[in-house]
Amino acid sequence: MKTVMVVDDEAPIRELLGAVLGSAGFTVITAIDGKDCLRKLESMKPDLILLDMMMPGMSGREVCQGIRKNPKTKTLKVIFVTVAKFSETGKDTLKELKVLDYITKPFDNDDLIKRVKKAI
Amino acid sequence: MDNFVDGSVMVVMKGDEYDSKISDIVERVAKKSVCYVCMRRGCADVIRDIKNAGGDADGFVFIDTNDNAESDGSHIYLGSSATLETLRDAVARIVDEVHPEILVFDTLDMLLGHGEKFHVMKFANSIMCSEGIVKKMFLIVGNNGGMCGLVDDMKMIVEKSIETSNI
Repeated sequence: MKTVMVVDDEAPIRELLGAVLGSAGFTVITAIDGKDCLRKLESMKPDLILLDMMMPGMSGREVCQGIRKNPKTKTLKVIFVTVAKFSETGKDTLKELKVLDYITKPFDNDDLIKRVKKAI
Repeated sequence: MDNFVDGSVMVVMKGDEYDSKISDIVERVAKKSVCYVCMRRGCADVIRDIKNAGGDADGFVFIDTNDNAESDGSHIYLGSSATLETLRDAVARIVDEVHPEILVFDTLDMLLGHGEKFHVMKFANSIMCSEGIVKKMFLIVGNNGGMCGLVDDMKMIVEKSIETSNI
């Protein structure tokens, strides 16, 4: 069974993503912010990370930089989840950070599952 | 103005360039329909720059967080204790009522005194949602924005980012 880590500071979003992905057969683990994510990745190796772009403390970009800098986690698959619309510059940054895809909130459940399955 | 794209443009200013470069930007938008958010300095200083550039402030609506004077049709004084919500509501109201061609936010990193970076990002994103009405948007960011990563995060969502030396 594939494992997805959901990183979002908003509990209702974590719960919603967990419920949708859980119903599709994924094991879901959660992190409440960037620091929690990086700490948990010391002992966990999810197949995919769904990473919120705007969080207190570290932004999604900064968390992803942290993931890429750590030899243990640098190859992990990441999809950004965001309320913002990425500009062309933003899409370039996603490529630099080796982010596979981005999902815009509010998201369609079926589309979310489709993208997660495609990623892993 | 022609070298600036429509949509959202972040103008990254080094602290020592602010006084000279902000006048350039004001000069470029003078004679347009503008919503000008004054965080770093009061609207009287902006009006002085417009006049020095040979323009007039007739098409400007100012939202000023520096002074507590009585508001009128073209000057909304919120005072320094204004919250992000108050400021967001004021900008949304002006955009809805006046339909300005240009929005200037001077300067975004001053909001770091009102909340942490992610609050500023969410605020900026909400302002940028009015892009359908506002044709051009200048989000000015000073030194503090670079230090905390605000500039790098903002670069991901603005249409264009310009360093003041390239204006």
